[in-house]
Amino acid sequence: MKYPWYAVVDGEEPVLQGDFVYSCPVVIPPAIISSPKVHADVVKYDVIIMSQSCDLVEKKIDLVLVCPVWSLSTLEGKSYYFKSRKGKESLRQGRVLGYHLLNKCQISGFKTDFLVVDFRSVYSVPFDFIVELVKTKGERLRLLPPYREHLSQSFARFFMRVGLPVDIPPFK
Amino acid sequence: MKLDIVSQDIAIKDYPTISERTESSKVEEKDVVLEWEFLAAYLLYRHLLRTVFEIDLSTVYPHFRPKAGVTFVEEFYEEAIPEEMLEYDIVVKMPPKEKHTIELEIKSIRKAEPKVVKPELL
Repeated sequence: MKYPWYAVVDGEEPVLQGDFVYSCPVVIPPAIISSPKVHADVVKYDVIIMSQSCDLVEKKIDLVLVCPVWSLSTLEGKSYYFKSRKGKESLRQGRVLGYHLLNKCQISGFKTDFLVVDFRSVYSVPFDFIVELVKTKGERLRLLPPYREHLSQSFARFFMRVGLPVDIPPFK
Repeated sequence: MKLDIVSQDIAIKDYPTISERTESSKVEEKDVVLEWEFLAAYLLYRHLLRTVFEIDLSTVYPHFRPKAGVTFVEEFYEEAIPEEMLEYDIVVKMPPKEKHTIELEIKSIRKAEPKVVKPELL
């Protein structure tokens, strides 16, 4: 198939933007640290790496940005809007702020439903940590260009949007 | 060219009119169908006209105006916002895949220092 969406890469491969990391743990520290021993929550998400590949390869960053990924069917169960045809079509067209739709994966052993990336929940995990984590997990799914760059553009567009308090009224 | 006055119209004598009978019966059928179609269109037009307009041609108070609730030109030419220009702000709160609590031993607490990345030469 020309321009496939996905590929499977070995765990030893360097991490790149668009790499999926399943069950990635994120530590949520307490608001106040008043003693040497504290209790903290660890939450796990299936995530996709959002940091730019050039930054990752050149090790210019200590913290890697990741966003949670959900199957569309999971979101449908939580939202009537995403369950509707209109909602799904708006999502497909990139008109639902904060969410980005990815295609199904048909690769054997890595098959997925349509996937939705959640830009509103952005986590950072230490670079060394994620490199070790992906090695322990073995083969992983990777989003390929240009779909990867399309995701990156959508991410940037979400963060660069500006709401005007007093907009110019529409022309009549 | 001699002109004959036929009713209100001026008819050119030697020019074949539509109402002239020809030998072909198909042409005659077409003429009849055409007249019926014209009549149907005219009646439909009148019906639509009366649906949209309030018409009173009496001599007491003749008037011709749109019925209440009917607006025209501005709405007709008003461009609706295309569906593809709309954006939707939907938020769905999703719980994590898994959650548990751990005990952390704090090794150190320090203020962060910037990590300087030298720009690449262009």
